[in-house]
Amino acid sequence: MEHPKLRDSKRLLTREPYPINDIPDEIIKRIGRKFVYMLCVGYKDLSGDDWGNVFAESIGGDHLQSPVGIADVVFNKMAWSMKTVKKDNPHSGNYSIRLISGRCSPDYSYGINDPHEDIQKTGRAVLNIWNERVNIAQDYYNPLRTSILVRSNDLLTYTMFEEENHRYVASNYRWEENPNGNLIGIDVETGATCFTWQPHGSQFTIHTRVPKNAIKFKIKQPPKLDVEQTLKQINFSDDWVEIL
Amino acid sequence: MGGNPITDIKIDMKRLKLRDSGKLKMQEIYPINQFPDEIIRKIGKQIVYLKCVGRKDMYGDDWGDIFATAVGGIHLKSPVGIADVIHDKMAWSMKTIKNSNPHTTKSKPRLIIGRNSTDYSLGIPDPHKDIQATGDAVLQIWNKRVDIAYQDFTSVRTVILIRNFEELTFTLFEEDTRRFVPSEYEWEENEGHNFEGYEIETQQHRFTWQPSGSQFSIYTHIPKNAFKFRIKKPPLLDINKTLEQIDYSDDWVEIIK
Repeated sequence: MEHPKLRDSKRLLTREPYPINDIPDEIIKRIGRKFVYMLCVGYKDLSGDDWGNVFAESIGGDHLQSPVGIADVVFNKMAWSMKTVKKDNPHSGNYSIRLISGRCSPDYSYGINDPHEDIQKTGRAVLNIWNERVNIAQDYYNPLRTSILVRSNDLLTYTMFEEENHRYVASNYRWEENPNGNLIGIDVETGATCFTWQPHGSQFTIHTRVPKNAIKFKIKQPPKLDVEQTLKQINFSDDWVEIL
Repeated sequence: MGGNPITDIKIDMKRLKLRDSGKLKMQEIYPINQFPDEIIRKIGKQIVYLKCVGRKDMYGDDWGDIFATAVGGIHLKSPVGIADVIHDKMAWSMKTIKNSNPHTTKSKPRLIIGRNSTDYSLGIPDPHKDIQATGDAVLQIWNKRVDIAYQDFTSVRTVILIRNFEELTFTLFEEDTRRFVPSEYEWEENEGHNFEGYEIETQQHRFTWQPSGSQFSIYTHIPKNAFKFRIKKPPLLDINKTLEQIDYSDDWVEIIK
């Protein structure tokens, strides 16, 4: 879709490279090509950092060395928070995934020493910490999106989608403690589980569903580059490693 | 962990003879912290390869793969206690840290060990209530992880690679991995609300534990006989040429509509 025409269009400073979750085939092809290269040179898995590098290169953006709030990759005034999760079959319909969204520590941020004492208070503190990270990112960048890559264990099958990144209204959620001692954030209106927070480790997880219009793609398994041959190609010799 | 004037001296030792030597089941590939040059060369060579294919940073997992290849061991997908790489009855816990000058740094390396949750493991909901009890619990969790590793392996070592930011200069050393006696340490809360564990006898800062995140770190020191090495910066492999070499074509990426 083209950019809509508005009377005050001139005020818009941001030019999106593409509308949200409407990722052009050309970008997917670039991403896939890079994944083929990575498998060929011996990558065994893809980290969030790798995903940030590949995506930034594919859209011509920058992968920040240290994120601003939750902004990992930036392009002009736009930013993406990069997430990747593993699943046996990323193409298997409309499933739910858990996005590990950083450490939110009510102890450090609010001085809540015992997170179990008042779990509603702890849960609200966790969401406030998340919201503050979104604030920081949006101080510098807007729009702010989350880019999610679901990858198969063999790194050949992928599902990719984007979401608008936003704050959560803390009062819309109630918190319960599960048998493992983790806190679960439940949407008061729908009863759906939206968040998990682990008192040990302070890890905050957002639950989301893969949308029907998520992009699905596959890559061919490339042959693995021969380490010895590759090093020969660059004229590696033993004296490149100098023991002092 | 920590300084040991005896093991800090490099000695070229043959396997020693004892009357009950026959009872020893394990065979060390090399004595602790006496890396043969061949292993260091193999490590360096693999780092050159990683750099030439465009790897921007080395992760702990890469270090595990590299070391396992160099010693002919196995890099476990999920560690047994703290054992990441194994070879027969030997195990290594793999650590790598960055420092701007690995060859001359005087700073004490801080080894990030993992999450020791006193809440989850020992049911201490408020870690600030009794700092000493929390600190003891943190060390107990560490000791348990060491116990698990020693259940399966005779020798457990921590192998530390300090790399500079460019990943061209390295310092490598090993330590015997051991348990800590909780009563030998006292704990204090610092201004950042992190807990610091001090050795009572020497007053040395040995541990840090963060209530936010449960991250446990051990401070160690770089021994004088640590191995120092450098690698030459390789040229970056051309992605287009490499893909051409393997006959890559656009239809290798299939978008499913």
